[in-house]
Amino acid sequence: MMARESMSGGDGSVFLEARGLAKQFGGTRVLEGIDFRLEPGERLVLLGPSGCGKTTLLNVISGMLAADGGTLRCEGDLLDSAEAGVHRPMRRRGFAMVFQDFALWPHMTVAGNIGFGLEVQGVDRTERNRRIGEALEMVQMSEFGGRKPAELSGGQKQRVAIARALAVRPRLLLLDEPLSALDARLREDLKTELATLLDETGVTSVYVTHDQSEAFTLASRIALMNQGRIEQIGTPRQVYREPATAFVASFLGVSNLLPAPESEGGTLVLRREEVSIHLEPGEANGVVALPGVCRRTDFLGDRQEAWVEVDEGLVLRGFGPLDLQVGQRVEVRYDPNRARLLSA
Amino acid sequence: MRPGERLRGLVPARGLGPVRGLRAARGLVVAALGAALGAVLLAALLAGCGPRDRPDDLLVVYSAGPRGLAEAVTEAFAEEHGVRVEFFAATTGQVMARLEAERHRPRADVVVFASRVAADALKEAGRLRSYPNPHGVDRTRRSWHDPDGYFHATSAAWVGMAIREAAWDPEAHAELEWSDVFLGRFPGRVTLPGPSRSGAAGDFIVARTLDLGEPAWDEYREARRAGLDISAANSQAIGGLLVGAYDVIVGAVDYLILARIEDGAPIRFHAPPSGAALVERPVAILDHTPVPELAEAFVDFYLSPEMQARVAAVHLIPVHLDVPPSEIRARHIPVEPRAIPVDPAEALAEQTRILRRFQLQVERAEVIR
Amino acid sequence: MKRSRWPILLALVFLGGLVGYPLAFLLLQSVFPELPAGRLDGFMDAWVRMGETPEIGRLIRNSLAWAGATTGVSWILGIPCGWLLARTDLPGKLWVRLSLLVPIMTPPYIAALSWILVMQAGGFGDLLTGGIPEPLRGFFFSFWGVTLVMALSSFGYVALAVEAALSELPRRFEDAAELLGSSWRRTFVRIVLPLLLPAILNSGLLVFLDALSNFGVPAVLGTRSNLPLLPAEIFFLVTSWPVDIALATSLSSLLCLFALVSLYGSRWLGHVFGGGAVEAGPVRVQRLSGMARRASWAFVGVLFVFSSGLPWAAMVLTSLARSWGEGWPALTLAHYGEIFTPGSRGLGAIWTSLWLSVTAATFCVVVGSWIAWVNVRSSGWLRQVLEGMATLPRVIPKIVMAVALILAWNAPWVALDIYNTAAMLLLAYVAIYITDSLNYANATLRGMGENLEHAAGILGAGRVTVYRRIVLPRLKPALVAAWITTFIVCMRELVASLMLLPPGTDTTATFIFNQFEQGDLSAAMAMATVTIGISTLVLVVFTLRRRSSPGTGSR
Repeated sequence: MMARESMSGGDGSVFLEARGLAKQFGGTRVLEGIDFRLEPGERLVLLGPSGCGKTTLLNVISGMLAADGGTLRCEGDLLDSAEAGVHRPMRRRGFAMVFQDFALWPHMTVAGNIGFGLEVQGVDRTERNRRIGEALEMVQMSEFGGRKPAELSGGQKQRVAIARALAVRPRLLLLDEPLSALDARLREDLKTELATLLDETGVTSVYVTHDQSEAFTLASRIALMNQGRIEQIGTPRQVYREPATAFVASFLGVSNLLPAPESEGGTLVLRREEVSIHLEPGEANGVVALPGVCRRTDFLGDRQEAWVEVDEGLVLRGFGPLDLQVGQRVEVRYDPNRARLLSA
Repeated sequence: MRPGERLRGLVPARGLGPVRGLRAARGLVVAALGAALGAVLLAALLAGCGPRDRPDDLLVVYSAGPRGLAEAVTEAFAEEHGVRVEFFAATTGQVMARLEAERHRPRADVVVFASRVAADALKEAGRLRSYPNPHGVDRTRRSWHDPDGYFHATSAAWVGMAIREAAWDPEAHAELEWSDVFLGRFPGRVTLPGPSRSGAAGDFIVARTLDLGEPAWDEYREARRAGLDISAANSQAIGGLLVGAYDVIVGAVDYLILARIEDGAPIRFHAPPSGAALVERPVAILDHTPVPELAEAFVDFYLSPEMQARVAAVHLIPVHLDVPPSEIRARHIPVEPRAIPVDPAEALAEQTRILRRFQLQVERAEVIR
Repeated sequence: MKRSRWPILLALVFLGGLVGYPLAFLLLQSVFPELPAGRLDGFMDAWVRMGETPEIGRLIRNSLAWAGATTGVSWILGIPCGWLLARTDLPGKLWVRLSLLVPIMTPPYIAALSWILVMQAGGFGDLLTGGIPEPLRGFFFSFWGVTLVMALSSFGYVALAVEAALSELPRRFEDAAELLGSSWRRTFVRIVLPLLLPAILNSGLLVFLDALSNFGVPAVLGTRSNLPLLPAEIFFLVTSWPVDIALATSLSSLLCLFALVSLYGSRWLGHVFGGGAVEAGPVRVQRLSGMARRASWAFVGVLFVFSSGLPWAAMVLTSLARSWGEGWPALTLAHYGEIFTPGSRGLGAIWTSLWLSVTAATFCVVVGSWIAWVNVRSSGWLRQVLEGMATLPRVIPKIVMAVALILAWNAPWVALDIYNTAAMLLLAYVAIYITDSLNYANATLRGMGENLEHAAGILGAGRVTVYRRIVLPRLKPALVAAWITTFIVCMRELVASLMLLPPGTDTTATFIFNQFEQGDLSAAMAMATVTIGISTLVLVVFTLRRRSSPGTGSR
């Protein structure tokens, strides 16, 4: 299956370009035919279920792993090309990375962690201290410079990890599920904050996650990955509204997948929020209305989600009124124009 | 409010460094307290218990070598008197160490040393029981005994040199002196049994040091620089001599050498003209013994002609005047050598200091070669 | 749920009597030499004498310098081994690990004896090479020679500790540094080394304490190599004429002080420079080129030859030699025959060692695991006391423990007459080695969590039932390991055995040492071979049985 969307978001200059990247471990193909182009300042989110190859792709980009096939270029420099025998080691790529488990060096203070990359770059002491202060300011951890990582909470650790990566002003920032080790509440807060921060710094970044809300908040474009391939690449709106494959449709949001009419073949995708359930039959002006029986409800607070059997064995999910009860006869309505047909 | 500020309030910083360091220090203090607590508990548990009862047909004997002789004597004694004998054979140094460790829980009734000085030290410390007139003491060499009867010699031996026949030049070596050997006549080929182990070697060092005064120390140090090896005990020194690792043992005790000669070893005993050290082997009764009669009987027994014959059989000089020395001894040491003159009072006063100094400055010292 | 306090009090009394009382008594007697007689005169007398004897100052400096040098050399040899094992694709790692275990299994005094056999004039080395150059011989019988012998028998600890730490140190830390442009060397120096610091310091501390308190090597090689050291001095002060127990106690206290200072010093260093506990993660493995592979094998091989191969060859050959003279000796089994003759001292020594070691190991494991359980499942200051007291024996030099036991159990108020009996040695073994069992059990118990026990408690199981049915079975693998370790170290224990054995009794170790002192090296080496053989056999049998029983096959 090929990615449906354009390779690049626009017609600006290309910053990072992957062509046909591939990687295998043993006999297993983990990455295959990965193509994408990234403009400066773009934030690409690699989204997919675990085992889809998104982390491997990130590791190939970072240089931790060498690609087996294809090429990877950054600002025209060839970083990886198995055919040409090129593999630039990660320490000479000028990238920085935020790790899932933070990977803060436990024996250094927060300031020491942030300063290390600057030290490697040969930044002198005064300048270094200024930039450490700047980076700490950026993540609002100014008073924590003298602490050791073990004395920080999870959220604080992640802020330091981000500051450490940004302090060196990397060409490209890589983030490997940076929020997944935090608890839900903190994740929400830090997500927004991270988005703001990345906006402010304008750094080009590649972000790996399996959480679609993170992807929607942070991405300028999302690459949806499955089984070592990019299924679709596009803006959050594009991939949500116009899923290219059934996988994309079912991975993002909740969708009803229906067999399409014989004549057209393929699968019909109908988002859950497009399906409304009513207790009384109503006017059918350009809307499909199907009678059915409510089989199950799920109370959501302001409304209810319901499973309605409209046909022998065919169940549609949608939203209904709060007084809906299991076993009631109901009417299911949706706009056929909102249904999207995926060819087989 | 920016999101980060909100977040900081939510997540407090955790355990700080110095606290952990403090905890470690407190652990130490607490362990010390615990040790004291344990001590008090145990002492309380065991308090009020006096010396233990012991059967009155048991005699405990600590004896310096030779093991064979000591075993034979104690076994014969046990048989003749119908008692049990508990017996510990070791070097004079080890026997003294054990007595010292057991000072507050004494156990031995009788000790036999290979050194008069050791017995003198115990007498001085008031730890011996006087037995003025053992049975048949008139027929023994009285000058070898303690004049106050605190210990009696069972036998004696000469401490001189043992030399490999291969290294012996009858003409050049007839007048061979201690100083010749110490000052490097046989460089790297000389050994001395450690005085802290061998009572005989200890007596020899004390005698020679007292005889020579301060110059003796220069000789010892010079000897070490010339490669004098300090063996652990007599047998290690003799073993080295037999396999050819050494040519000379200084401070060799004669009866051991004679025994080897009897076995056909190509070695000889030599007493320097300036004098050899005479080492008596005293038997003494410890003052706390619960079985003094049995202990006295043991002393009598050791001085009896039968046991003295056994003493002679291992080539020691019997203390009994009626018992002749062994045939090997008569042949190899036909005339008694001149003895290094020793003042017993001075020896007693100085011996600990001399032996300790010898350990620190010679035996276990770092010597710049 | 409120727990009753009697188990922890019982554990405290036990450890207090076993360890606390003798050490407290030792410290007190070093200050008041006449304490057992009930008098307080001679206050600080021994300490004053210690200060007044310049030779003792040199002895102390020697000991510290030697232990330090041994630690340094062990690090130099051990850290690369640990790195090769944890971080490279070196083939045959099992063999490398085995080659590290062999020298650990060989008691240092046997290694030292064997090295004398190799290096002495007319020895094994001369036979092999047709004459060792004199400067080399001179170098061997010197400070650095003795250091090397000790380091060769202890670098395995460093290697295994570094391997364990390196194979848990997640590669993320190194990746993070390298991504920021750090070179391989900078990453190693700034990131890996500090994170390894706890392992390096801990294993170094072990080696340092071992060397500082080792008696066998200095006693065997030290005098011969003109290197007087503190433990040998203490030994001679207590066991030979003129005896000076007061001075021995103050020197022992000093040795204790050094041990404790180095313990807390290394903890402090680890705290300041190290990073604390690190969560394990996948590690980076370095591919070795053919050249590097060969070089690594050569390194490990040379280490093996020097740490085990040569000494073992010398040991076995000497045990089989009829007599040493010119050229290769004629071979005989006579020395083994003597050892195994019924009623001989050799056979007696083997039996004594066996029953003592089996009893001590069993006792340590049973009591140790119970104390560990009590400790883990209680809290408060009593627990801290217990913990402090339980770590003491690991730190306190064995010779000090032996001196302390002699004094403590010869005190006039002690009712039990166990000095001069083998029970004294049993007590010493348990006191010295119970920490190992405690540590093994502790590590498992901490990871176990209390819920399993609560689950049984809810069903009505009593304290004893919970311990027997829930705790013990889960502890079994750790306890088996603890048992083997304790058995092996008891089989080879030298200095406490020498000082505490009742008259006329030998263990294998004292037999070897005495035979060496008597100059009968063949008998000594035959017994050394037998001892190492027994230890290895026990290890192999248990390892095989563990392999074959399913479900317990973790390292």
